[in-house]
This record gives sequence, structure tokens and C-alpha cells, in this order.
Amino acid sequence: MRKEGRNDDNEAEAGERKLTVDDISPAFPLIYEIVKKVDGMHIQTCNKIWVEVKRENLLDFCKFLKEHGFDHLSCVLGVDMKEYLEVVYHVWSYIDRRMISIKVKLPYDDPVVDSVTSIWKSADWHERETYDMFGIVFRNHPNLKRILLPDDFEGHPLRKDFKVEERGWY
Amino acid sequence: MELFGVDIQALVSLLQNPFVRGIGGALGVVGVISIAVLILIWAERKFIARLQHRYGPNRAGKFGILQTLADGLKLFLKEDITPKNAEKITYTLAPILCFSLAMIPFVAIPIDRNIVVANLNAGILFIIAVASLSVIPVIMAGWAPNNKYNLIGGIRSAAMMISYEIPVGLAVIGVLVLSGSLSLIDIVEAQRRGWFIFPQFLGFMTFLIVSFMESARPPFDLPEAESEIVQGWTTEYSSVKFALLMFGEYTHAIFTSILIAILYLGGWLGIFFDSPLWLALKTLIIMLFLMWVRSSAVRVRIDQMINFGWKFLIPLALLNIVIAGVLRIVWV
Amino acid sequence: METVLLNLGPQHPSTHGVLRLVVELEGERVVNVEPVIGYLHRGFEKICENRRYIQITPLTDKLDYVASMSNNMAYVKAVEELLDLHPPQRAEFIRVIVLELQRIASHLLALGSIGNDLGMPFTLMMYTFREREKILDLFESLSGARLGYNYITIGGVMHDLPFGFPDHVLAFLKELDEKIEEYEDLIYENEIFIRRTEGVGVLKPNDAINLGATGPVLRGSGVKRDVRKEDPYSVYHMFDWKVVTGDKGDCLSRISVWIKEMKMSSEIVKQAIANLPAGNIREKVSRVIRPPEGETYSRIESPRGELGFHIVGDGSTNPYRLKIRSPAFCNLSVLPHIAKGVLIADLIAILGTLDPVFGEVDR
Repeated sequence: MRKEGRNDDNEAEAGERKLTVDDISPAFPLIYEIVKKVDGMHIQTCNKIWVEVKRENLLDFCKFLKEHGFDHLSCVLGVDMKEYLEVVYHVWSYIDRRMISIKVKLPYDDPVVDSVTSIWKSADWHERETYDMFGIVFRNHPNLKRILLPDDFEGHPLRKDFKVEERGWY
Repeated sequence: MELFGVDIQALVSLLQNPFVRGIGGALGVVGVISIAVLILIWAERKFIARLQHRYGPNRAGKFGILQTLADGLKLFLKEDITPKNAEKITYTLAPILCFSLAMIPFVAIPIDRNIVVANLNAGILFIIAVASLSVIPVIMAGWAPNNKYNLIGGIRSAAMMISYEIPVGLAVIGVLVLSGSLSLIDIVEAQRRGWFIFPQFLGFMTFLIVSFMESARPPFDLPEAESEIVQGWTTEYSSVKFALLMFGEYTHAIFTSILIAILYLGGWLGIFFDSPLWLALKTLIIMLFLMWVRSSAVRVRIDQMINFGWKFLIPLALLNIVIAGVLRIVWV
Repeated sequence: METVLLNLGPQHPSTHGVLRLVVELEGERVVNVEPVIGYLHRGFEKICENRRYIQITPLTDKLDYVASMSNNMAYVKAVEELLDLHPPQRAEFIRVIVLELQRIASHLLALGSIGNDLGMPFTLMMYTFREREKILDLFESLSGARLGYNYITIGGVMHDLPFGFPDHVLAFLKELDEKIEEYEDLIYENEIFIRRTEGVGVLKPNDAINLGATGPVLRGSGVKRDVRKEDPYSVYHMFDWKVVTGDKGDCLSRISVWIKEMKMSSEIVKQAIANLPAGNIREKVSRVIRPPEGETYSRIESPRGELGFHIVGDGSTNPYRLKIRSPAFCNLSVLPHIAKGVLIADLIAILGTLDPVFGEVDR
């Protein structure tokens, strides 16, 4: 897994605090439940957990989270890693005060994933923006069309292979 | 007799000619009202600005007096655009009608006991009838430019007219009961024993609220609600036509103020002496009140306004007639 | 009855900026409203992939141009999480003072604009802007600019407080307390204002949470959620303050949340000034920052709601991906759900209380 955020719980740099078991233990019940459902997990702090999920399991996992009190979908974004596209969902639970960030890897030639608007309605406009910028198609979205760019724009700007016309002086 | 080469007899008989008197009176009304509108628009802008903690126009001429002239000149010099699909005749006729219909009631308003352009003995009836006609140019201006914003403004104005005509008629009936005559001069003379505002306080409140509705001023300025429907019923108008529409609107405000001063505040009757200056002062006070409310009240919604007009003002006006009847029997 | 399509177009006297609302009307009732945004889209996220970390801070001022300190803070907090950097205590206290003053300024502007929308021409706006001008003068003495400050920077704040600043702030807050009573009089004693905003645009709490509303829109529905209490950052946990909520979820509750939040912010600033520690104001950070590979998502509570930055760093001088979760974008998406069956006049009032700023919605 990629090294993320503040501390990696395997290595300790000189002068930095290593994340200990006592830090993470409040999150243990949740971690035990979800570690079976996901492909990979990384714990940034006891309040921030990053998981990786396959795109077929996404909808079930999200339903599971919603039942366990994760009712605030903060953000849906896409990232263009050069070999694959990635969709990241940040979900916050007010009861547990925990943020789970879900990453789904998508291949370049088939960027289709289920839409989670049936679970959290706030995903509506976020997914439209991700579609607009990356070309990721969300199945079962009520109204998937471009939101920030004009309707007849060609291309998906935030992909790394989209060349922006730069002016001479930069 | 001859004086300075002019035949006095011919001059006097010319001045007695009703035709000449009529035209002269009409021109006089138009002139006086135009100047009054110019000055009052300037006064309104300065007054509202002071209420809002700012100066108001103070660049065009000393204290900004020439600001209205400057704005009028700017409007006259603008390009006159007509939308392509508008109905040309109605589109052009609406501002002209608005301007003229607003001025017609002034011919029947007396300034002093003997100074009036047309001494009608059913003066109040004539005035209310012509004032009701003034919604026609608004609906024409709402329909003709073929634009949704105009249409919404025009329809709102029609709804408003229907809601306020009845309360105003009923409120005036209260005054008529107490004065016993339809002529405006007699109404003012009947207030020698006491201004009608005191026995007819409910009628006065009704009339005051209706005066906001009739001249489409905030808080009842739904037809031209600037924040919702751009300019409302005057949206597609530019240049001279827009100037005429605005002029007509403002003339309405002055007209209702003068009417309140005559019906309820004793017209030209004053403390030690009678004079038209008292009428001007009372009109000015009512106009200041209209300006004050303009700057501090929020706009009402259309359904709230219609509810208010039908469910609150009409019962109030009816109650007022009952009170007037009782007072006539008991007091006069 | 047939429906008519009205276009409250991008240029309009009261849509707070460039927003196009395609409204389906049946008479004067709104059947359906669809906001069309994107008129102010400047490609912010793509630009940031080609700029160094320290060059992005002035760019974030232009996002929510009404409350630029909050944008600076959100970005800087995310970068500091990537670098695992802790600014000194004095810098944290100054940040809290500045952020809360910014919250007061932003709510004053929102309050002035709602007066305009409802039909009171500029009166309320003149009064609230009188106070806002004083805050802008204070910020000018701090950073030299009135609207885009670039004051909170990676490692701390840019300049120290000028001489006499705490006294000026305390004097201003004393005046503000009296003026807030004036505003409450102008609003709560004004019968027509209350009739226009009470019961209009009701947003139920469950819907609000599900639709992703945050900030005063969420708190106006009675939900007690505030990023400063749930996910505390900076030194907010050291002060004694409460989360304010409205009770009914209509326009009047949202407006009352603004007013109560202004009072609460003024309390926080007074406590912060009383306990301001001495020290240096900025950690030593090199100009060219190369954070280690990693990503982070960090949020703050801006005056409009939850402002989040997701930064993916790949060890080079530029961020690999920068994503902004803007509160006004999510609050605006609530509009089609709460504006069904209202009149046009109410639509404008609801839009005013959602408080969109289009630099943030469109980025």
C-alpha cells in the first residue's frame, strides 16, 4: 500500500511519533468488521481509515456503511493514476467520529462504476462533476450529464493526457 | 379699452372661453406635475439615502438637484429598441397611455376653494373611475413585448388592481357619508369642524395602504419586483418609452398623496388661514411617509397581498362605513 | 395547467453571481427548478497541478472570494498534514482570530444580500456593510489587501499582528454587539420579513444530511454538526463555545443561525485575544516543498459549510491531484429538492439563504 498521510504504522522516522495500538484501538470493532469486506486497508489515524474495494462490491459495502451510521458523504472525486483511473469516496460517521475513504480502481478503457446516489443523495452532483472531468460513467445515475463545462465540450480535462493550451509565456 | 396695444375686452372674453380655459388648465396641470415629479424624485433619492447611511446624489448640480434632469436626458438619448415579436401598436401605445391617464385625474383636484381646472360636482367619482383605468397601460405593457418577465409583472398588477379597488371604494364611501357630497370642494369644506382622519381613522389606514398598492411602491411593488423578475412589467422598454412609464408611475404616487391630503387631512384648511400651501405641505408629508416605508419594508408575496386585500382590508373598510354612519347620526 | 419555462438567466439582479435557473412554472408556482452552473469555471484543479505548493496559496483566495482566509486555511491545513508540520501556538491563535473575524464578515454580507433579495432596496445591506468595512480595514492592516489576503501560509501566518491590533479588534467587537441588536430589530420585528421567510423552503434534518448540506443550511434544520467540534483542528478545543442551530429548517432559521454564529464568533475572538501567547509566527519551511508521497483529505468549517481539500502528493514540487470539496456546491444541489411548489418570490428568498458564492461553486 502506498505510504499516506502522517504516519505509516510500519516505519518510524527519527523524532516522529509512531502510531501505536492504543491510538487505533477505539476503532477496532469497526476495523474487524470491514477488514473482511475490503481488498486493502490502511489506517492513517484512528479517525481516518483508507480502504480499497473492487468495483463490483462497492454498492454492498456502501450499504453496509450506511447502516452502521456513516451518513455523510463528504466528497466523491476521481484521480488519474497513469495506469488506471481511481474513484475515491470520503464518508463520515457522526456517531463514531470516523472517516472512511473508499478507493475503487477502474481500467482506462472501461471506466464504469455503480452510482451511489441511491444510498447518499449528495453523490448526485459530485458524480456529475467526476464524469465531466474524467469521463467515468456512473451506472444508474439519475441525470448524468456535464455540470461545469458546456454540454458540447469534447474531452475530459482532468485526465493527464488532456493538453491544456498554454500561452507562450509559461 | 386699449392697454399696451391689446384689446382688454377681447382678452377677457378669450379667457372666459371654456375651450381656452380647458386647454390652458390641462397644460398647466402637465407643467406643474412634471416639475413636481422632478423635484420629488430628487427628494426621494436624498431622503432614502440618508435613511441608508449614505449621501445620495450630490454631484449633478449643488446637492444633486440636476440629477433627475441628467437621468431623464440620459434616458432620452438611449437607443430605442423594439423586440422583434412584439405587437408594435400596443407596445408603443402603452407608455403614452400610462403617462396621460396618470395626469387626467389632476384636472378635478382643487387646490383652493376657487382654484380648480374642472369643477365637477361628482369629482370623487370621476377621480376613482379614471384611477381604475390606469391599470390598462400596465397590462398592455405586460402583454405587448412578448416576454415572460413582462407578462408576470402585468398579471401581478392586474391581480393587485382587483384586490385594491374595492377597499378604496369602500373607504371613500365612509368619507362621503360624513361629508354628504361627492364634490371635492365640499368634502374639504366639511372638514372645517375637524379633519376626517379622526372619525375615519380606519378608513384613513385603509386608504394609506391602498395608496402603496395603487402606485406600485414597496412593500407592494410586485409588478416591478426588481430582484425576482428583472424589471417586471417594464422590462423590455428602453429610452423614451421607459421614461414615460416611470413618469406615469411616479405621478400615481403624487396623486394618491394629494387625494389623502384632501379626503382626510383637510386639504387647504390651515390653522389661521387657508391656502394652497397647506395642501402642498400635507401632500409632502404623506409622500415622505411613502418614501420612509419604501426604504424599510420588505416586499410582500403575491398570495399574501391578495389575502390581505380581500380578507383584511375589505372587512376593515366595511367596519369603517358603519362607524361613519353612526357618527353621522350621533355627531353631525 | 400548462407549464411555462422561465429562464432566470446568468445575468440577473439577484442570483448572487452567475447562475442560471431553468424554472418550470405553472402560473406563479414553481414545479421544477434546475440550476445550471459552470459559468465561472476557471479550471482551478488543473491549474494547481502545474504550480508549486507555495504558489497555490494566493490562488485559493479566489475560490470563495468573500471569505478568503478560510480557503487559505483549508489548503494550508491539508499541506501541513502531508508534511506533518505543526505551526507554533501563536500562529494557531492568530489563525483562529482571523478565521472567526472572517466568519463574521461573510455572514454580514449574506445578511445584507438577503435584504436585497427580499425587496428592501439596500437598506439592510448598507447597515451590515458598515460593519464589514471595519473588518476589512482590520484585515488590511494585517495583510495589505481587502479581499484576497494570502495571509495564512504553510507553517504559520505571513506577518505578525501590527501594534494595537488586539485593542482595535476588541473595540470593534463591542460595537458589533450593539449593531447585532439593531439587525435583530430590523429583522425580527419586521412583520413582512417574517411572513416572507417563515415556513418557506423547509429542509428536513434527514434530507439535509442525506443531500450533503453543511454549514448554516444544515444547522438551520436543527442538526448539531460542526467540523470545528467533530474533527477539531487548530486550537478550537481550547475555547468555550457552542454549536448554534435553528429549529425549523426554513429560511428564517437559517438567517437566525447567521446572526447567532456572529455572536458566537465574537465570543471566540475575545477569548483568543485574552489568551494570545507570545512566540514566533512561522515555522521554518523552504520555498520549494516536496512532500513525501501520500494523500490526505482535510476539512475546515468555512462560513458556508464544510470546505475540504484532497491533495495527492507524489514527491515532486507540484501536487499530483488537488480536489476541493466546496460547501456552496453541495448546498446549491439542495435547491431542486426544497423549491418544489413554492412561488417565484420564495425561490429567490431560498436561494438567498443558501448563500452561494460562485467562485466556490464553479471553481
